[in-house]
Amino acid sequence: MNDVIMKDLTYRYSAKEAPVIDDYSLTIKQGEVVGIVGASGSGKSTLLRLIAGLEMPEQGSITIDNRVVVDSHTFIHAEDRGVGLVFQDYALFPHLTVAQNIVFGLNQLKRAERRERLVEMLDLVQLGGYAKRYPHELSGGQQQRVALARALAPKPSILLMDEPFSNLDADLKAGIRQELQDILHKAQITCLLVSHDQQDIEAICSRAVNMNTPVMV
Amino acid sequence: MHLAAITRNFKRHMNGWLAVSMLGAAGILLPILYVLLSLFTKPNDNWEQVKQYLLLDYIQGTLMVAGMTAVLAAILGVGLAWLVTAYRFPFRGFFRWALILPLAMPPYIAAYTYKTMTSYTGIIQATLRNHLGITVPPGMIEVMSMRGAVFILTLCLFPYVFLITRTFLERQSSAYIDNARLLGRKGIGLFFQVVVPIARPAIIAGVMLVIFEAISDYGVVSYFGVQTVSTAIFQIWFGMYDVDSALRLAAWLMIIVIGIFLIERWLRRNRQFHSLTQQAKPLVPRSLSRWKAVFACTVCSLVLLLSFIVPVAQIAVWSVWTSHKVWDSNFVELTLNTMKGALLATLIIIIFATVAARVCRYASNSFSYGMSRVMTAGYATPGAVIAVGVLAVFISLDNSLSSFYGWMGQGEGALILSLSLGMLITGYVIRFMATGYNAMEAGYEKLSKSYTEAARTLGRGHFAAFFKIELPLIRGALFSGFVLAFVEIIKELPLTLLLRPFNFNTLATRAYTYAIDERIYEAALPSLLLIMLSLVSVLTIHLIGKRDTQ
Repeated sequence: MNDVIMKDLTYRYSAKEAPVIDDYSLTIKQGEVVGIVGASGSGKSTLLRLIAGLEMPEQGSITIDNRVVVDSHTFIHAEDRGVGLVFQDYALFPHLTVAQNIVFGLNQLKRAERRERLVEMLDLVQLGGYAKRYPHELSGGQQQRVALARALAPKPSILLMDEPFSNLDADLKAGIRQELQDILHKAQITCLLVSHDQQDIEAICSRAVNMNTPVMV
Repeated sequence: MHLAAITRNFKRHMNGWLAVSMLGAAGILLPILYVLLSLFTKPNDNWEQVKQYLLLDYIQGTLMVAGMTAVLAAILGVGLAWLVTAYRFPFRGFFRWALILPLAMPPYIAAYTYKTMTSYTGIIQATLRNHLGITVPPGMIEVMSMRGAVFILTLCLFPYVFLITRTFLERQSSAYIDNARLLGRKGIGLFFQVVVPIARPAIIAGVMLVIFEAISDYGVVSYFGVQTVSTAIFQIWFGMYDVDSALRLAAWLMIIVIGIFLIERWLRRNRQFHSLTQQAKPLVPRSLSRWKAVFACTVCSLVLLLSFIVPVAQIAVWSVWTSHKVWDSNFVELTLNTMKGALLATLIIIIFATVAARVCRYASNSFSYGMSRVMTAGYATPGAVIAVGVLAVFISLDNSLSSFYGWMGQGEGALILSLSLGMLITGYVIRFMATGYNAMEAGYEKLSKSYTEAARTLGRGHFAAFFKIELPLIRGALFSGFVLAFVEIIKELPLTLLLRPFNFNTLATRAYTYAIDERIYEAALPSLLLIMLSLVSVLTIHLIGKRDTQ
C-alpha cells in the first residue's frame, strides 16, 4: 500500500512555546485528494513542511510509500523524499523560463526523456505556448499552473499544496478551482492541500480534515 | 535523548556548508583569543617596564584620539545630515552624495598631504607670505600634534556618521518630525529635542565605526608623533622584537574595544532600530531664506573642500610633478603586487562570507546571531591586534612543525609560514571578513527562503540549489561585497606593515614609506591611485543605497 502515514507528530517552533502540532496522526490513501482546514496559525503549513522534510518533528513518524522518512532515529532530507510541494508564493525561480523551471527537478533523466516530460507537463497544465516566458510575464493563475507542473514533473509520491488560492483574485477562483481539480484528476496523484477556506476544500477534495481534530467530515 | 536521535540530528544539520563556516569562524576567533589569553601568561621584564612607565600614556593617547574624533565627527556628521535632509538650498542634491567622498581618502594620505601643505614651504604659508605679505607665527597652524591627528581623522571619518544618519532621517523620520513641527517645535529646539533623540541608534552606529577606525589607525598618529596603543605595538614589535609584550599590549587594546562595545550596548538599551518595512514617506525638505541658504551652502562647501577637494587637488599636482620619476616598471610591479594579495584575500573572504551567510539564513536565530557576530568580529578589532594575534599563531604553528621542517631538509626552527604571504592574507581575511559578510548577509536576506526549499523538494541538493538558483539571484550582493572588501584591503596600512613578507610592498606601504622618508611628492602617485580605487568603492556604497531606496 503506497500510503502516506503520519503518526503521533509533535512540533514546536521553540522549546519555550507550546507545540503547534500536538500528537497528530493522519493517513492518506494512494490517489486520495485530502484537504486540511484550520485557522491561521493552527500548524497546517507546518504539517506540509514536516512531510516535505523542511522541518523535523519533535516526536512521531512519517512513512511515505512504505519508507520511513522520519522517526526518532531517521531523517531523510527534503531532496531525497520524492515529495512535491507547491509553495504559497509559488517560488518560481525568477531567472529561469517556464521550461527551465519545470525541468529543474529532472536532472536525472536523459535529455530526450526530459523534453518529453516537459511537453507532457505543459500539456497537462495547458501552457503549451508559454515555455520560453519568464515567471513575471505570466498571470497569477498561470504561475500557479507552472508551479504545479514543476512539482509534478519528477513524479512525486505525494503532492502538497500550501494555500493554493491565496494569491488569486476572488473572481478567478471558481475557474481555477475547476482547472486544478481536472489537473489533479488527470495526473492521478495523491494530494494533500491546505486552505483556510472550507469552500476550496469542499470543491476539490475527496475528504476534508480539520487540523486540530482529525476526524473525517 | 537517545544516541540514535543525536546522530539523526547531527546528520540533519551537518553538511559541508556548516563545516566550512565553522572553520571560517574558528579561523577568525583563534588569533583574537590568542591575544586575549596572553593576559594570563607570565609577563617578561620588558613588560614590567612598559606597564610601569608607558602603558597609561598609551591608553590615554588612544582614548583621547578616539574620543575627540568621535565627538567632532558626530557633530559634523549629524549636523550636515540634518542640513541636507531637512532644508532646501543651492547644490543640496550634490552635497547629499558628495559629502561621502572623503571616505575614499585614506587618513594617512590626508595626514602627510596636510602636513606638507601647512609647512613653512607648503602652499598655504607660501601663498600668504609671497602674495599677501603675511608671515604666520611658527606653530600657529601646526598639524603635527594630537590636535592635527584628530582634525585629519575627523575629516576622513565623519562621512560614516553622515551617511548612516542621513539614510535614517530620509527614510523614517518624517512622521515624528512633521508631528513635532505641528506641535510648534522648530529650528534648534526641533533638532535637539526630536531629531537627535530619534536618530540616536543611527548616530551611535556611525560613531562606533568612527571610533573603531580611530582606535585602529596607525598611519596618522605615527606620522604625527602621537603615542597610542597601536603605535606602541609597532615600537615594541619592530624596536624591541618582543612579541610577548606586543601581544599583551594588543590584549589591552582589545579590552578597550570590548569596553566600548559594552558602553554602546548600554547606550542602546531598550532601543531597537526602527523596522524598515513600515511604509514611511520621505521627509520633505523646507526652503531656507536667502542668507540662511547661502550659509548652508558655504558650510557644506567648506567641509567638502577641506576633507576632499583640496587634498586631492594637491596630490594630483604633486603626481604630475613626479610621475616621470615614479611611473616605471617597478611601479607596475608594485600595483600588480598589491592586486595579487588583495584579490586572493578577497576571494577567500567572499567564499567564506557567502557560505556563512547561507548557513545563517537557514539556521536557527541564536545560531545565526552568534555566527554573524564572529564573522564580523574582525572589523571592530584594530589591525595591530589582528596582526599580533596572527603572527603569534603562525609562529607557534612554525614551532610545532619544526621537526617536520627538519625532516623536509629545511632545518629545525625554520620560520616558513610566518615569513610567507599567507600570514598577510590571513590577516586581511580576518580583518575584512565583516565587509564581505555584511554584503552577503544583506543579499541573502532579500532572497526568499522558498526558492531554496523549492529546489530541494524538487530533488536537488544544497549544491545545485546554490549554484543554479541562489548564485544568479545574489550576484549583486556578491559584486558589491567583492568591491568593498577589495578596496578596504588595498587601503589597509598597519596590518600590511606588520605582516608583509620581507621586501613585499603594496601601494599603501609604498606611499607611507615615501612619506616617512620625507619624499612626499613621490608618495603622491600611489596615493592618487589608492584614492581613485577607493572612489569605486564609495560609488558602490552610494549605488547600493540608491537601489535600496527604490
